[in-house]
Amino acid sequence: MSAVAEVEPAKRGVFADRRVDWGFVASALMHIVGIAVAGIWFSDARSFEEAQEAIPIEVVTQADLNQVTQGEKEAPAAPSPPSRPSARRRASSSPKSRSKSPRSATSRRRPAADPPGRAAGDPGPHAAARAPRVAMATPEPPPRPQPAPIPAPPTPPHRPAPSPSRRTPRRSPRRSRRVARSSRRANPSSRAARRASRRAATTCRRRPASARRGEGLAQTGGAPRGQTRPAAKLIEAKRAEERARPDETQPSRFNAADVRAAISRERPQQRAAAAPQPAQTAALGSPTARAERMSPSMWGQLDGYLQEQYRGCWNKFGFDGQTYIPQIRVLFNPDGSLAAEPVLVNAPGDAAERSLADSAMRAVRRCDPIKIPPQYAPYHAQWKARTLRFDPQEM
Amino acid sequence: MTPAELVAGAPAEISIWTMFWNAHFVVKVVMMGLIVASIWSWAIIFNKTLMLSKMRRAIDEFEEAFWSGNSLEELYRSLVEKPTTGAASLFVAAMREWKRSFETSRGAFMGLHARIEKVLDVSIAREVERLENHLLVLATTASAGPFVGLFGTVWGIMTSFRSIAASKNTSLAVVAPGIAEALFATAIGLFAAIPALIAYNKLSGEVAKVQARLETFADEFSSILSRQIDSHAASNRDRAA
Repeated sequence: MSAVAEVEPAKRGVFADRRVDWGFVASALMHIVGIAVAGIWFSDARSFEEAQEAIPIEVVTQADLNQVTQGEKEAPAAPSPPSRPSARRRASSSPKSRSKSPRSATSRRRPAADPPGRAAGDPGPHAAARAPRVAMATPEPPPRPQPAPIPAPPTPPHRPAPSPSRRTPRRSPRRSRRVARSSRRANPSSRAARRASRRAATTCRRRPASARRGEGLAQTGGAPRGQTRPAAKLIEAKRAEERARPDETQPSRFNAADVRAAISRERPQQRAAAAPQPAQTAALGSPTARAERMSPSMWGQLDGYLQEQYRGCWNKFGFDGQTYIPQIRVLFNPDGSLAAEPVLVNAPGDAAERSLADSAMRAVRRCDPIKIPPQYAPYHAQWKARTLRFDPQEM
Repeated sequence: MTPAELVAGAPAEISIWTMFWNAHFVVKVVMMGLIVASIWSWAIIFNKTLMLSKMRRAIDEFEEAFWSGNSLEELYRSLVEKPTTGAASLFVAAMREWKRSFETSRGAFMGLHARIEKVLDVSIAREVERLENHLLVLATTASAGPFVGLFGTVWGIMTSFRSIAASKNTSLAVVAPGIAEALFATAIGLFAAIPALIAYNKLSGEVAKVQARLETFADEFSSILSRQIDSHAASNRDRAA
């Protein structure tokens, strides 16, 4: 009897063991499959993307900013944007002219022989009126360079001036400008230019577009181009060339900031570039170009320096306790001398104030060639106009 | 985990195989042990789940038959031949004790109820023991797996720091593979422990439920049997009188 009772658990144990086997097989299979899947999925770790290193804003110094504007030497040359909407329109209307084949050169010459027709066909009457004025502007000497003590590095717009454009024959200034630009880009264009130069009756000295826009337009009258005789033009151009030559041999003292200032002073109606221009990328900056911006600390140093010097020149005895502070606007030359008569900005009210203002004016005149530290020379465009406060308490 | 598989997965640079293969011996042993533990615990999970579902189905079937109104003698005869599980085994054990008492000594009614209670308790204990058989392995895996994996990780990091000290190169590229291998051990530990923990909680809850069902049935059945015993005793007394 008891034997029967003993048998049953044993039987059950065998039964359970068989079950364990089955479960074990299933589990082992599951693990093998899982490991194989994991081996496939994690077979190669995905590498991190190269993170662009972020520069904390506090770390960006003025020098870094300058470095940024320096550009890259290896960067591809970005084509300079069309300076005038009309020029761009013409370029888009005859896209074949971009391929610098002789045929296209002739096709480009053809409208030059017939300027009135083209001008008539030109939708913008303003642009048509501009063409002769620009032509007259061409023989003008280059912009009077600022006599900077340290020769400023040659700036990009000045460089494209050389020979191929000088050889460009009588043709619409806009086109010759484009040829000059294109000759910078590709060789075949220079061949086209040479072909054209064989028949050249005159040459016109080309100056950088921005400089021409800046000053040439502002200074020239509206005499039509057709009136100038070819021979006279040739002579004039020769002369202009000779005048321009020393400018190329010696390091240029062209100041980009000046040109920019001149451009911005121009009235918007006079500038034909009303159409939005493509954004200029900073590619291919001048290797020596610097963003000519003074840092706040440089401003502070300059102010302190000026104050120090004017304090020595100013006889302020007896003027303490005044509420009136004379402010004098001064224009400096790069060497520190006065470029213009100092101007009293705020008029004095009574005699005491007038005497204080006069003493301040005297101080400015006495300190006339003020000594500007040489490190400020490149920033002359920024500090050339200063409004000096002659505060008896401070100075 | 055969060598063939290991070789097959080898070519990738930072694959799981290379991580395993480049690990220190101790870490390798830990990893292997954890994988074995994982396999075992999953086997237990499968078996126990199956067993519990079977047990529940068996109890359901038996209770249906038990409460259908058929005579208990017939039910006993139909069940005694084949191995039984759950409530059926309780019933068979109790009926066997009952029959034995009736067939051997006619007047042994005095301790019969107590004996049947004991038999039912023992049967319940046996059934529950069978259900809980390997659940402790799950519990152990769940609690010890992370520690074992952590041991492998600590060992691996120790090794990789020692190799840093030896090579005098602290670049992350040098340190990273060793640490990845080391962390792999913890990953395997967690991989084994988490299902084991969840399954342990779930299965022990199921076992407790089955046990409660069995005990309820045992109480009901013992009350039925005690009624029978009392009626038998009364009829015997009448016959004697």
